[in-house]
Amino acid sequence: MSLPYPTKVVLPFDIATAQDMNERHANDVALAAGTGLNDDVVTLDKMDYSSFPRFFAYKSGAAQAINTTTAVVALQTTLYNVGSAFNTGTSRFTVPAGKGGVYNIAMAGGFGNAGSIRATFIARVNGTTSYVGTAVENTFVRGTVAVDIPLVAGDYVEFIITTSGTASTSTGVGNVYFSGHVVAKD
Amino acid sequence: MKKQPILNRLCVWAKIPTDGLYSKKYTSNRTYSVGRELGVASTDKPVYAYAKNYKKSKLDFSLFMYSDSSDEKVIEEFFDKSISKVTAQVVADALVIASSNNFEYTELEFKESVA
Repeated sequence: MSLPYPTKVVLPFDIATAQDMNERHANDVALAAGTGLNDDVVTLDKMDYSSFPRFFAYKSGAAQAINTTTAVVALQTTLYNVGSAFNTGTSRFTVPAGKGGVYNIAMAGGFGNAGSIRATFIARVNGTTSYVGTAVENTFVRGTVAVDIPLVAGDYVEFIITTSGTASTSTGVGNVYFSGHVVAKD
Repeated sequence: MKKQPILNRLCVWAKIPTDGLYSKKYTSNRTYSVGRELGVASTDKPVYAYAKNYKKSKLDFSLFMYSDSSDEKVIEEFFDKSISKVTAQVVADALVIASSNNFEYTELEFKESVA
C-alpha cells in the first residue's frame, strides 16, 4: 500500500497551494483510516508488530449476573486471537515471553436491565492492580473505555465489572467485549 | 524584503525525497525575480519548480530551479548537462548550509533556446 499522493517535496521558496493542502489532507485521511502507508515517515503502521499478540474477545454465552462483588467477565469467544494469548477458559490475556510493552486494552459492557445503578469497568493486572476504566451511573446502558497499560511477559489482564446493585450483562460481540494490542514495544 | 527565487537560475541543494524529475506548477502567489523585475505567477504565466537528485564525490544532493518553462524534457536535459559544471566543492558548500531557506545559486542559467 502507499499513500494516494507522493510525499511532498518542499523546496526553498516553496508555497503550499490549494492542491498541496488537498493532497496532504487525503494522505492524512488514508493514514488515519489505515489504508495508506507513508513510505518516508516511520509511523506505527510501519513498525513490525506482527509478532505481538492481539485479541478481541466477547461474551457469546448467557448473560452474566454482576453485582458489588468483583467478578471477572466471562468471554467465551474471540473474533481474533493472534498469538493465542487470550484464554477463553480463564478470560485472561497473558503477555507471552519477549512481548512486553505498553498495551492498549479496550473494554465495553452493556446491561439489559439498565437502571439506576453505577457500573465500573476495570482492567485488572495479575489479580491485584486495577486500571479503572470508567464509572457510569443512573442512565447507564452501555459504556466503552480504553486504557494503556505497561505489561511485562507473564502479566495477565482480566476484565472486571462491578455495579452498585445487581445487574445483568447483555451478550454478543457488540455488547460485551475485551480487546487489546501493543502500542509500544519494550 | 522577502527573498525571491531567481527565475531560470540553477541552484544546488540537499537531496529531495523523490526519484526522477520533480515538478510543481504555480498559477498564483508565486513571486519571483527576473533581473531587477519582480514577477508573479498567474494562470496565463505559470511558474514551475523543478528538482532532481544527483550524486557527486559520494555526496547526495539535488539541483533545483524555478522556471517559466513547462517543458520537463528540456529542463531535465539542462539539469543533466549542467551537472558536469557543478563542482564537488560547490556541492559540499551547499550541503553545509542547506536548509529550508538556504542553498547555493550557480552561475548556470537556463535558456530554453540553447538548453
